[in-house]
Amino acid sequence: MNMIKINILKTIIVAIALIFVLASCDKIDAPYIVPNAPEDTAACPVPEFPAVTAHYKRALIEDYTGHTCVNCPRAAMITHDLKSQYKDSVVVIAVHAGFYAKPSTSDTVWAYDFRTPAGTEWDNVFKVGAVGNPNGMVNRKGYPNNQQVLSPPSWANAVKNTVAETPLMDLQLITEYNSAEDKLCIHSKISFLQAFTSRSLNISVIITEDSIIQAQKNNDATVGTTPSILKYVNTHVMRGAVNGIWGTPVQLVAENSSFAPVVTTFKTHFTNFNLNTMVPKNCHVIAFVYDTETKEVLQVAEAEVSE
Amino acid sequence: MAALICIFPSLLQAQNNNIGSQVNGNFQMDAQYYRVDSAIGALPVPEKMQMNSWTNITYTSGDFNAGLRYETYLNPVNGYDPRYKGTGIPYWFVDYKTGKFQITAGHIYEQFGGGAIFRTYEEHNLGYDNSLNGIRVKFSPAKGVELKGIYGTQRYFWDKGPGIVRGGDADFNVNDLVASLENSKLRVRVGGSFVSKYQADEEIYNSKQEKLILPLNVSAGAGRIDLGYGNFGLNAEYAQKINDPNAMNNFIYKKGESLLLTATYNQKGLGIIFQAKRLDNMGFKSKRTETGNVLDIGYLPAITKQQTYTLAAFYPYATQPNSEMGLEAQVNYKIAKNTFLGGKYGTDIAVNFSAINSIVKELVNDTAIMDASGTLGYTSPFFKVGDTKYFRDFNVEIGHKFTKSFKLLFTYMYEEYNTAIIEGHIEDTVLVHANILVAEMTYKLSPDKAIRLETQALFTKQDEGNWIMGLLEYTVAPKWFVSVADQWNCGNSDTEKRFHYPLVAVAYNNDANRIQLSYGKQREGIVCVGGVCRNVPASNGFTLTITTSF
Repeated sequence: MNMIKINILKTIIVAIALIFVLASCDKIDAPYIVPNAPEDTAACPVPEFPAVTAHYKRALIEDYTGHTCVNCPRAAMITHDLKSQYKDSVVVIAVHAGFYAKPSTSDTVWAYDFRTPAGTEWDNVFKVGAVGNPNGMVNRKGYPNNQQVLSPPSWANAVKNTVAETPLMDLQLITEYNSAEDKLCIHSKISFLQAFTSRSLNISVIITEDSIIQAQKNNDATVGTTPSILKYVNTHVMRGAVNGIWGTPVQLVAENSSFAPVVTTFKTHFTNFNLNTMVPKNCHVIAFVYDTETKEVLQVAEAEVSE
Repeated sequence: MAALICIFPSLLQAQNNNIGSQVNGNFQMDAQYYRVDSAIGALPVPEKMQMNSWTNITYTSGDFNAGLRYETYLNPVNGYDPRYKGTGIPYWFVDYKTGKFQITAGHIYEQFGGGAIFRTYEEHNLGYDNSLNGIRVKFSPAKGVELKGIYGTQRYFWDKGPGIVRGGDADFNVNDLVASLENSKLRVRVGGSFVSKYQADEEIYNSKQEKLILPLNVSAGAGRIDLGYGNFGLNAEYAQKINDPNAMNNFIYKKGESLLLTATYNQKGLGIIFQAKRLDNMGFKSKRTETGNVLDIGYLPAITKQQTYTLAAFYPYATQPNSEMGLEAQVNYKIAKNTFLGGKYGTDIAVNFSAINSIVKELVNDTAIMDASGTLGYTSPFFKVGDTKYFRDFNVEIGHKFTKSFKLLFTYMYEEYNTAIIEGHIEDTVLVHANILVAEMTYKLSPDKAIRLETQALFTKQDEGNWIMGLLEYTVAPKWFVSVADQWNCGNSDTEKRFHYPLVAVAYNNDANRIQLSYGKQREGIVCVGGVCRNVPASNGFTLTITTSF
């Protein structure tokens, strides 16, 4: 009798273990696709891109941060310093995502929500917040070999190495903003500088905003008051992705031993981001081209939002 | 590595007839199936299920040893560093002894003295492994003398750290070396070690955007003495490290030092331990920009009692490698049996106290800024204790066996815990004061059946307020084990957060094999190391654990 009971128990354990595996499935119902939003760029005539004589590789620092992350203002200082040192060669996106970016539901001081769907998804994929905040990436190098997450003190070296590389392409960006229509036209031009074997490339277009004054936790007295800076001036805050979380494919057309220049126009509106508080003149448009397989950012450009 | 795997079977074949050859192994798998629980903050897990597993195989034949560990994290379970994602053999070694030499090649776990300047080890359940990939030579030229040398790089998830670590250790058992002390009651052992780390130059700037001149080679030395006389023992280890600007110390150039003193007294029924420690700027890693819990060269143990009861372990102290001063005292006393307080079986009493504070930091000069990168940072008088309380723990444990089948253990604990220092995040209240009570009763129903009941309560006005916990365990030795537990955050000031965290587990043992299935909820936590904090999200789900060994 005892033997039978024990066998039943064993069977139950094995059965539950099996349920484990079987329950790990996602049943998807129709529709099975996310339809593309219709792109209407007719109202955005393509301007003449100025000729570029000096080509150089630019570095993209993604600083994963949060307004309740006490160590993050110090990391923001590092991006600020690198930006001052390298000027246009460094582009910064402050991605508010993860636990320390969660708005408080009970305390209005910390209720501001900086998060964006794209920033949250990037953080899920690159696991920056899971490693800890503050941390970041420089040109997303090291993915998918689990080496993409860099601590703030190591950003300077990664930037130095990146900007010293020979660029594979040049990326130009022109923005035109019509405040009356809240119409932002973004024109990008990729000019290939080297021959390379076919790679699948995407271009991502991002809006960032400076001078957002909100409360920030802080434990570094050299940066500001501790434990909170109630009027912290946030810079490079990612506000959203213009062309989807992972951007859109770059349509490559072979030309000689390389590819023909690719000019793409994007049209968007600040109201798209559903943030009534956004100040267009404080915003920047950032575009970056990356290899869809390795996710490495090959070139990046930044432009102010100008009328 | 491939060659090693290929050689293995032939080695086994060749050595199988050898009486001294042996193959051992063990295996563990932890698989978790997650459910969404928005109340406690358990977020959706895209994989639904995550799994960590490792398998160790070691082969021993006389003076020859070889081993490897296969690990797979697909994907790492909740709470583990996501950079462990992957599968592979991160650990293998071959080792042989010949004459007075012992040679190890591959991945090495080693410790010099107490480990202050060198210790590599693995703690699977904490997701920690800083093994040294390189070589180790041990040489014993005479009885009582052991010399060790190591050279290699450290494990960094699935890669190696950028720094090269090399070092040596000498250990002398004076009683073996001095003929007149051979049979002395006084036992003397002395040792010394030296470790140096090399890392290539890189660009690091201070807040004024001035480039730091980095030391490419950073060395540390340590000396130790171990004395024993009758029932008394005294151990001291002092370590010093030269300028080592790194992310942990905000790139200051001050030298680091640590001192650990341990005095013990033991006699039948009485044990006393007293420890004192001072640490100053002793974070020592083989990558200077690293802030995570990886690549440590030195080991800085906490001199606080490691609590095992769930609520008693709610606020565990973690050594602050940048600086701390502290002491710990523990007295274990057994009241003899057949006395009024001792009863028929005797009563065990353990009293433990530990206190950890800051060190005193003074400005290098009038114009200096404390802890500023690219400077000496601060100076610190060696014997002065700082004013900031990091941690206090006073606890009393009384264990008494009333009858052959009934035993009671009672614990009281008072703790003060500095969240800003230990967890690195500043909340409204920095110091948590907690009173904790635990009663544990074990009742043997028959020689192979036992019931164990734990009741625990934690009282605090800070953090998440009061908690209570109950755990009931039923064991049918040696095969079956069932337990039911619940933690309840009954005193949370936010009444909507007064959650229950139940845990039900059933396990089956068969010789050295165990399969355990549990269902439960895990509260969320925050882990901070070196100025970087990460959130370990709450979880709700099933865990399947299989362990076997042969």
